[in-house]
Amino acid sequence: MFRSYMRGKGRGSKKADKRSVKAEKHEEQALGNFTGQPLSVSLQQNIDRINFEVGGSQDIILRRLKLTDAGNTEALVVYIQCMVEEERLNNFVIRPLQRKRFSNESKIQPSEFLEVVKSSLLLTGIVMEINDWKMLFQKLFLGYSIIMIDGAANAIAANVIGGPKRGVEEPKTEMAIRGPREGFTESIRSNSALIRRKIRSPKLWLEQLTIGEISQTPVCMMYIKGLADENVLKDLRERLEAIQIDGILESGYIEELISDQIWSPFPTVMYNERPDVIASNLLEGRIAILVDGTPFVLIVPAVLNMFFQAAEDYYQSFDISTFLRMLRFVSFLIALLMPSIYVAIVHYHQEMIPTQLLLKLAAQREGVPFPAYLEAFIMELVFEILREAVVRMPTAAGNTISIVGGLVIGQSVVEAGIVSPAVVIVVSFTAIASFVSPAYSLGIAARLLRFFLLLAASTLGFYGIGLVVLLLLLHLSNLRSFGMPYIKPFAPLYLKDLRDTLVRAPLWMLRQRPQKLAEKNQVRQQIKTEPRKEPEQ
Amino acid sequence: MSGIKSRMRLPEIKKMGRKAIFLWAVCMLMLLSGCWDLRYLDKLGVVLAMGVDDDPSGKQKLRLTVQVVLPQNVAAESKGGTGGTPVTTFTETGDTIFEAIRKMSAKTSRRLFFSHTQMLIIGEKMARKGGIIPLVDLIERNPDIRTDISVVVTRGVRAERLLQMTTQMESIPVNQFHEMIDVNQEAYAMNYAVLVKDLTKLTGKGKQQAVLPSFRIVGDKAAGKSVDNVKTIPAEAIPALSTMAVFRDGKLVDYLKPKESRGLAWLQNKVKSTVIKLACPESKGNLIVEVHEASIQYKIKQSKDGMPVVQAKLEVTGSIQEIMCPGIDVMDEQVLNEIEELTSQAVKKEAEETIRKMQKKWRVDALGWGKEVYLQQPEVWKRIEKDWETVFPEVQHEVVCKTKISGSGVRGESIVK
Repeated sequence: MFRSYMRGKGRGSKKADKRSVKAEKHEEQALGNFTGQPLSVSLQQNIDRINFEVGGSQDIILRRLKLTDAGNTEALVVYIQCMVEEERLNNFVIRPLQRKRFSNESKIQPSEFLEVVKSSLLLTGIVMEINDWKMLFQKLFLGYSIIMIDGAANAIAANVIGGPKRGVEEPKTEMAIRGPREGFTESIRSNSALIRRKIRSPKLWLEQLTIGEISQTPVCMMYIKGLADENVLKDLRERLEAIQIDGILESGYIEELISDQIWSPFPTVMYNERPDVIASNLLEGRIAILVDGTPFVLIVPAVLNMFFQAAEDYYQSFDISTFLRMLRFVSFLIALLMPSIYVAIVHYHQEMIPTQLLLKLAAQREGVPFPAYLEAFIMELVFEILREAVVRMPTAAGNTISIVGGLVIGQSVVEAGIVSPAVVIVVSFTAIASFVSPAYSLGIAARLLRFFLLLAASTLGFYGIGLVVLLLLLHLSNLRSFGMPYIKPFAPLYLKDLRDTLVRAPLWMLRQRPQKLAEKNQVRQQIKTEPRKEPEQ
Repeated sequence: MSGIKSRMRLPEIKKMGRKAIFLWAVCMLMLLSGCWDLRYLDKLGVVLAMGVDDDPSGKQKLRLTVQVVLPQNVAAESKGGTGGTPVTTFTETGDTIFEAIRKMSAKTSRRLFFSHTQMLIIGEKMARKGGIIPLVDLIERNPDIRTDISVVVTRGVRAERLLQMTTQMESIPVNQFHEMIDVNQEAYAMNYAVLVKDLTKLTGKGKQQAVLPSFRIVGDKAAGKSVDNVKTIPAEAIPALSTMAVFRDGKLVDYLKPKESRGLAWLQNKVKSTVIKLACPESKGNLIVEVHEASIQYKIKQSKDGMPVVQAKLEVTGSIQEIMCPGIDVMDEQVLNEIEELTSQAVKKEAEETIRKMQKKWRVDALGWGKEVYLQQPEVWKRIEKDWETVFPEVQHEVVCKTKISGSGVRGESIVK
C-alpha cells in the first residue's frame, strides 16, 4: 500500500524519483526488520499490531481465551492455520489454558501468569519466552503458536509445528541398487534428524541461521567438531552471514551466493539428496549446509574428484567400484570431447583414422548438404532441445516426445540424407556418456563446454581442442572451493589420497581421511583390518 | 530493482564492458583462422595406390595412374545395392610425379588426398629404364604421404593395367594386393613387403641394392578391367604375386626364380612361416616340414688377406605336417634328427643358390652384406668401400643351418603304406 502510494506520487520528476528510492529503503526496513521492537503490555494493542502487520490475513488465527472466572485476564493464542498441528494445539496448548482457572486473580501479576503458563500448563516440548516482534513473527511463521497474556510484557512460543509435509522417500536424483533408500525431504528438521541417525555422536554439531530478509529461511550448518576445519567453518559462517537477499527458496541460492568462483562451469559446491552421502562427507571433515524447503543438502569444500564418486562405490566390492570409477572418468571425457574429436578428424585430420573407417565415414558424408561441424552443432542442439523438452513434461507427453525425437529425428533425418549417420551415432553416444556421471551438476559442465570445444575443433582442429583443454586445465587448477584446490589430490599431488580417486582401494587401505581436510584427526581406522593370511603349515 | 542499479558504480560497469569486449575479441579471433586447412571429407578423392609407368609416347618421363576410391559405391556394396565400381583410376603424364598429380586436377572433381595411399606400383618398363629411387623422393619428402607404403614392381604388365583390375576377394583392388603380400609372407615367404622407408634406407652406408616383390596378371589381361571379370567363377583375370625382383642402382635387373626368391627371404630374415618339401629318405614320395620360426645372424670375419668373410647362421624351427610316403616313424628320435638334417640342407641349398646368383650372375649386393661389413668391420669397409661392386662377387661365405623339429602333428605314423 505504502509502496504504491509513494510510486504514484513520485512518478514524473527526477527529484521525486530520488525520493522514491529513499522511500524504498525505508520500506525495506519495514518489510521484516522488527529487531528490538518490544511487545506491548496491552493485549489489544498487540492484537492491533499483528492485524496491521499481516494485513488481517485470514489464515492467521487469533484466539482469545479467558484465564479467570471473572474474565478480566485475557490470553491470546496466535497461530497459522495448517502450519500447526491443530490437534496438538488443541490438546496441549488451548485445553490446559482453559481447564486451569485462576481464582484469586487479584494477587497474581500478569508476568507470574506467564511464568505459570510457561512452566506448568503448556504440554509441548519446546516452550520459549519472546520479548520482541522480530522473534514473535519468526516463530509464528515457523509454525509455533504464540501465547500472549494481557498485561504481560512477554509472550510465549510453543512448538506445535505441523502442516503439510512429504514423507521420507527414495531419493529421485541418485538411485542406488545397494544402499539406504531414504532421501531428504523439504523439512530441515527431519533432514538433520536423518543425518543424526547416521552419525550418533555428540560431536556432530549444528548451527542454525536465518537467511532471507523476507523469507526468513532457516539454514543449518552441520559438521563434526574436531574433524571440520575451523578456518573453513569461520569462512563459511562469514559468507553465510554476509548474504543479504529477500528470499532463499532453494539451496541453489546459497550455493551461488557462497561459491568461490561463479564464473566457472564447474560446481565448487556439491549437493546431494542422500543422507548417507552427506554423512560420509561429514566424516571426511566437510561441512553440510541444510536449507529448509529443499531436499538438496550442500557440501563444502567440494573438489572435482567428489563428483565422480557414487554412494554405492563404498557399499560394493572395491574391484567393481574401481572399474566403475574409471568408466565414469572415461565417460566424462567422452561426453566432453567426442563430438569435437569427430569434427576435428573429419575436417582436419583425415590421415589419422584407419583407411576402412575413413571410407565408411566418407561414404556416409556423401551427399550430405551440411559440413560436418554444422551437422554436429545442429544435432547437439537438437539433442539439448529434446532433453529440455522431456525434463519438465508430464510422463505421458514425455513418451510421445521420445518417440518423435528418437524416430523422427534419429531415423528420418538420416534416411533423408540431411544428416550423416556418423553424427547421429556420435551425438547419441555422447548423450549416453553424459548421463553416466553420478553428479548432475558436473554433467552440466560437460554439456556447456562441449559447445566451446566444438567451436574450437571446427576452426582449429586438434590444435583447437588442445588449446581449450589446456585452458580448462589452467582454469581447473586455479579453482578453489573454500581454499581447497579444486583438482586435489591430482594437483597438488597427494599420493595417499589417490587411493580414493580413479581407483577405490579396499576399505582397510583407506586408513586416513583426505589430506588437508581433517588435519588434526587424520586417522580413520586405528586397527589394521587387512585380510589375515592363513598360517603356513 | 532501482536500488541495485544505484549501487553499481560507473567504473565497475566500465570494467565489465572491457571484459565483455575482450571475450568477444577472443571469440572473433577463432574465426580469423578462416578454417584454414579445413577439408571436407566428401570432397576428397582418397587415393589408395599410385602406379608409375613410362610414357609410351616418349615425350615425357612418366605416366602416373592413381586409384581413387568412390566411397558411395563402397557403401552401396555393403548395403547390398549394385553401385558402380568401388574404385576408379586417373592417368596423366608428366616429368615428375607431383607435376602429374597436379595436372590430374583437370580430370578430377575432388581434390586428391594421399594420406591413405597404401601402395606404389612401378611398371616393369619404367623400372628397367628410369630407375625407382627418384620416384620415392616425393613420398619421403611430403609430410602428407606415409612412408610405410608398400612398393611393388609389375612383371609383364603395365602398372596402369594392374591398377585397373577388378578383384573378387576384396572389393578394393589395392586391399587385395596389399593383403596378398602379407599373406604370402606369412604362409610361404616367397615375397615380402618392401616399404618406401626401406628403400630410402638403402641410400645410406653399405651400398645395399633394392629388391621388390612383383605382381603379374594371370588370365585374360584385357578382361580384367570390367566388372564382369568378378562376376564369373573363377575370375577371368586375377592378380598374382610373382617373385622378388632385383635392382642395380635402382634399375630392374631380373626376377628371381621361386626357390631363389625364398632363398632371399631366408637371407634377409623375412621368413615368417613357410613349408619345405623334402624327399623321403628311404622311399619314394615327399614329406613336408612347416617352418614356424626362422632367423639369420650374420657374422663378418676377416680373412688372412684382409677381405671380409661372411658367416651366416640360420636357425629354423618347424614341425612335420604331411608325410606322403611309407616307413617314416616320427616317434623315433633318430628319424626326426634325420629330417632335421634334411631340412637344414634344403634351406642351405636355397640360400646358397641365391647367393651364387647374386654374386656370380648379377653381381648385385641385394643381401645387405656390405652393410654388415660396415657395421661389424668398419676398417675393412673403409678400405673396400670404393671397390665393393668388384669385391662383392668374390666375398667368401659360409652358410650354416640348424633345424629343430618340434612336432609332427596329432598323428603318429603315416597312413601311407
